[in-house]
Amino acid sequence: MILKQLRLYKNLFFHRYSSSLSTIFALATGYQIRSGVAIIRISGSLATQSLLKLTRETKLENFQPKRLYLKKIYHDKTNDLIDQCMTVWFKGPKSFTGEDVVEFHIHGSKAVASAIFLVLSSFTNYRLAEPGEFSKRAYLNGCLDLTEAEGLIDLINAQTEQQRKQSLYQMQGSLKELYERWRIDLVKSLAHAEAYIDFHEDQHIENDILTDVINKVKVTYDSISLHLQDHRRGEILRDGCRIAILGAPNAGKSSLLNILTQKPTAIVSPIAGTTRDVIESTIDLGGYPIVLCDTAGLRITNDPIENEGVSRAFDRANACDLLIIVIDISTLSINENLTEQIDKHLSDLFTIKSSSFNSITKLIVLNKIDLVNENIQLKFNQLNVNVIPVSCISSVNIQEFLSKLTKYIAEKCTEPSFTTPYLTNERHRIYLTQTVEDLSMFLTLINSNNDLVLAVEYLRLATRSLGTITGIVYTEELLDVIFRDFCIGK
Amino acid sequence: MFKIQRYNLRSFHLPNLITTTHRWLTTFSYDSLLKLKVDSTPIQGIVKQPINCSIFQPYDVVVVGGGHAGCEAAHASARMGVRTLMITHKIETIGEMSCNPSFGGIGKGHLMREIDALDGLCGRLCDKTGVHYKVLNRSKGRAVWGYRAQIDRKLYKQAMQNEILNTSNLHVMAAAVRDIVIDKEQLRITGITLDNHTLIPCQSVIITTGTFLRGCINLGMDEQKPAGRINDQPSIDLAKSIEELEFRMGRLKTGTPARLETKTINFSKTIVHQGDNPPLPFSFLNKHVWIKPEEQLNCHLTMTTSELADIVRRNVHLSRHVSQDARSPRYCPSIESKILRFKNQTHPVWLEPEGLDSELTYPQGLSCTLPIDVQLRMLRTIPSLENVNMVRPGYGVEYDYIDPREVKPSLETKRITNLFFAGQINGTTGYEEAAGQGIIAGINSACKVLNKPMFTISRGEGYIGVMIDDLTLHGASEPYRMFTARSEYRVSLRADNADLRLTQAGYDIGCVTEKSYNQFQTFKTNYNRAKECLQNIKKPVHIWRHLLNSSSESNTYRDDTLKSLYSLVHQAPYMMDNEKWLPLVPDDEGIRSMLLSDNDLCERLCLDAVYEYLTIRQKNEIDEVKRDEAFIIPDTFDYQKLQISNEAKQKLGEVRPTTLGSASRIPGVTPATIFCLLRALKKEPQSSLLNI
Repeated sequence: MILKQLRLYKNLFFHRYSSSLSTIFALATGYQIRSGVAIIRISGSLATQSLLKLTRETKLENFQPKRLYLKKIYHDKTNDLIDQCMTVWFKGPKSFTGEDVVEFHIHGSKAVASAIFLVLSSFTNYRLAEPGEFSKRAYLNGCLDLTEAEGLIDLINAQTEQQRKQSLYQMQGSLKELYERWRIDLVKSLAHAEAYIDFHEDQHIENDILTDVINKVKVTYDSISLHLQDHRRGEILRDGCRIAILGAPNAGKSSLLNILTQKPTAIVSPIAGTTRDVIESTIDLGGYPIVLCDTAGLRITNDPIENEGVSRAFDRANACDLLIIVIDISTLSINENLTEQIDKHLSDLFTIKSSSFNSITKLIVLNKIDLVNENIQLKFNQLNVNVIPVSCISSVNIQEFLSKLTKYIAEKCTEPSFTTPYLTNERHRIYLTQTVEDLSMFLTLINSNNDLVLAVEYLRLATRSLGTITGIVYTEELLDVIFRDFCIGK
Repeated sequence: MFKIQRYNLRSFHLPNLITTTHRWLTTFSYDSLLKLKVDSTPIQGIVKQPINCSIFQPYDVVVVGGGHAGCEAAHASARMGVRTLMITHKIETIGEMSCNPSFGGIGKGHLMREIDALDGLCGRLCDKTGVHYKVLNRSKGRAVWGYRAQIDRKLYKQAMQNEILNTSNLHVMAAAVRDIVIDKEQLRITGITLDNHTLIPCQSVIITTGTFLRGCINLGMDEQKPAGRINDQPSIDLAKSIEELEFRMGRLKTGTPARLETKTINFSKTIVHQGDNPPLPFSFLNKHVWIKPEEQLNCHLTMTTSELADIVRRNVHLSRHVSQDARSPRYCPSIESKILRFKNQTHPVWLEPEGLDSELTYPQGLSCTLPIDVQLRMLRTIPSLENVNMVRPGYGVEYDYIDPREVKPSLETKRITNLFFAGQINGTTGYEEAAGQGIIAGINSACKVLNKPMFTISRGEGYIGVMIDDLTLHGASEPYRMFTARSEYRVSLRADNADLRLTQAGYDIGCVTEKSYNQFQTFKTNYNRAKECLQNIKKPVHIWRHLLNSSSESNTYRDDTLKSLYSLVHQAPYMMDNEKWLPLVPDDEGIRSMLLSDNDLCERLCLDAVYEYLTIRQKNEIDEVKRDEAFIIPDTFDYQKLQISNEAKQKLGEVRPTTLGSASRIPGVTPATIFCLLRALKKEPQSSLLNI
């Protein structure tokens, strides 16, 4: 009797609340496995919306539950075709989670998965699922029994562990510092805004504190937006497109590697032949996984160790998908035909071990343009499209170099074997995008609206979005900042 | 008369039970009660309503303490119809404002509105005793408006005593409580004993002793004497009794500034701050406050100088309070720590009136425990106080508090059934925080007697909920004070909508009287009708522009999006400009005339429209939290049997969260742990009992 009552209660209860829960989505096929097919699962009361919006259908009646349909799916705003895929939906409670569930069986491509993720995260009340959240909902709605649930904990643990490993704590170098700096900046800005709201009037907190906050938020906002536009995505541990950096000694190969990895991966010195062995580094560029190989400078030498290094450089270059050849521009004479000189330089380099690399795409980097005084912009315009002048030391033209490189890689990576859908960075990107959106709302509102609380609410939301990547910001942490920075008494 | 065997009396040493009972009964002579009506001299005995009072029936709820928590607790319990007894050292200190002569503020004002929404006392009493009403934060948005008022101490105390002494079901006794009496087997309250060893049996006990548990006053280096408040005895026996029950206790300190003689202050050197015109009432029940706007007293602002900082630095070794290590808040309580911790030389000092006919001024911001002579020298360095007379020096108070993780969200202790703690004893500071806990403890102790489910407020429903959740989960490492920064749902939990959030629930549980509820119902009906009407008037945006006559941007482009008037009223430049949008409301059902006559209603509608987008977004989150709050973790739950990390076990074991929701808010508890916990809870059939 009691049990029956309880069940009644439970049904009532979930009926009452399940309708207002967010709709969640995630890749159901795991984030690491490369596969021909990947499944995106969406669960919640609004799940069927995504089915209609993405397939551009108007009526749900066109889809019978539990039936697969082959559909083209489109970006709901730009109307770009994203993929052709199998779709299916399950009507709650007869589904995995007990709620309405939609699945898209897409091609196992990172580009497709991330495009769909971005569209889904723009829907109201949609959000990325937490680890194990589908299972948790299934469990709460009574769709999983205890024995099934036993295995779930391990699963959640494993997923959490994967994310943890891939998340910030495992990240090294400048990216971690960058995220951490944003977090500190936002916490401080938020704490100061909160102090202004709670204590400004009776404790005489200076009026300009708010101007400071706005300025600081602007800086953080710019910095995160730049990062999101930036194709440099930091280091991740994954196989991918292989790129070798070749060039004469001291042309700046290692400097270029360090710029790409955003950390001092290779030792850089003015001494020719600093790099002896192949230095390998994996990075994520524009969302594409890349293995970068820095090599020894190519020259004819009697030093047996250096000679071995040069051989290895050639071996590695032969196994690569793309070559970046670095040329010190100061070794060329600016006033003569650069294209001819570059060709000669390349053939000189390659004949050292009688190779040609004809079949491999090459990107040629003219380094050290900071050393050239003349106005050479005109000259550069006449260069081939695969030649790009930069300065690694003063970071001139690096952006252009990166976008060109990304373009080359994008072409390379359209082959399915290179595409790997993965979640962690996608999560980061979704939350960072959210952060930026909320920050921009804050900046707009604080300048136009006289309701400060409303504006600060967006600063709170931004801090929380960033907090999902960098670690949750608890109120205590804010209060610590408030009471450290301001004298607040009774 | 009582089956004494049932009670396990630990401090009950009297040889003859009959004597005790007799002694207790003799205190009820009708004469003494009459005498009390004539003049309110303190008297041992039960006060009030001798005709209805049947002393032979034991009390249901006993409230120990007559401060802000005690008064709200006793009144709430009595409102719910259970026989309640308040025991306090002195009847004439019921409702005493021991420190600042003001109520409310940012965050604190929100608490008062919520107490009022539950038909509590402090809001409406402040509406008839304030001398200077001022809403703080007017420039920062309605969600953080801080209702605040300077209160006449004497009037407030009188009003409170009048209220407490004239409430049916509520009796008051002046006595000191010695011991809590429990049934040792069931760990359940059976009564209390007074210091004359009288036993008072009851079902529930609420302890609201504030700073009186082993309270100790610090003044300079030499003077340290036991007292809960200056001139008032501390409760030492009761502290021992609580300690014997093995509650985790700690020590906190707080302070109060000197009191100054008003006529010796040269106000011409200060900045005058006038009260609001019109002054806004705290209570939803009131449209106006008692005082005329122009009759309000002024507050004055002055600043400390570097000279004062020098004096403090040279003499700080003379302050026992600062040199001792009982934990003091991160926000500075005393001028000493302000000077020591921050470089700035000047700090604001608010000179606040203590009342209409009071000769005292309260210098807010100068809380201090230095020796008396140093205090006076220090005061006289402040501009406008050069010749000031110090009527009473500032002092610090150190006191015992209970680790609030010992209580549940209902404020009942986890160790002893039907024993409640509320107020400063739980590590909070401030009248409003105390009152907020008082009303919850009062309601719940009555619920226990009436066999009703516990009444709790979640973080998503009110600041009272935020406070109790923070306390019960994180404990209090410093006196806990409410700020709006503490609530993650600040946009939803506003002072203006406290009644919509809480009154219905309060009425359902029985703590809101019919009279207040009817007024709320009338408002809510009007409000819903008007809101629905505004939401239903839909026109294309460019038509609205034309109608609302905003010449600057009209006719620039055609916008055919249909929008309701409701979604437009808050948009600048129409915002709050009733004259612009009111004529557009159709009057077929009398809604326009209703809005025209009720400015308050218009304002609240606009406010809701302003915050609507974010409140809806927050409502989803609040509901998700509520879902997890519905999973109750039994008191006896054994975390050791879970297959989770030792760290998580330790954290959960320490806090002993009462619901799955509160468990997930403990820092360091991972989703996997929560899932483990959920699974274990599902295995225990009784645990899926719902908390609604």
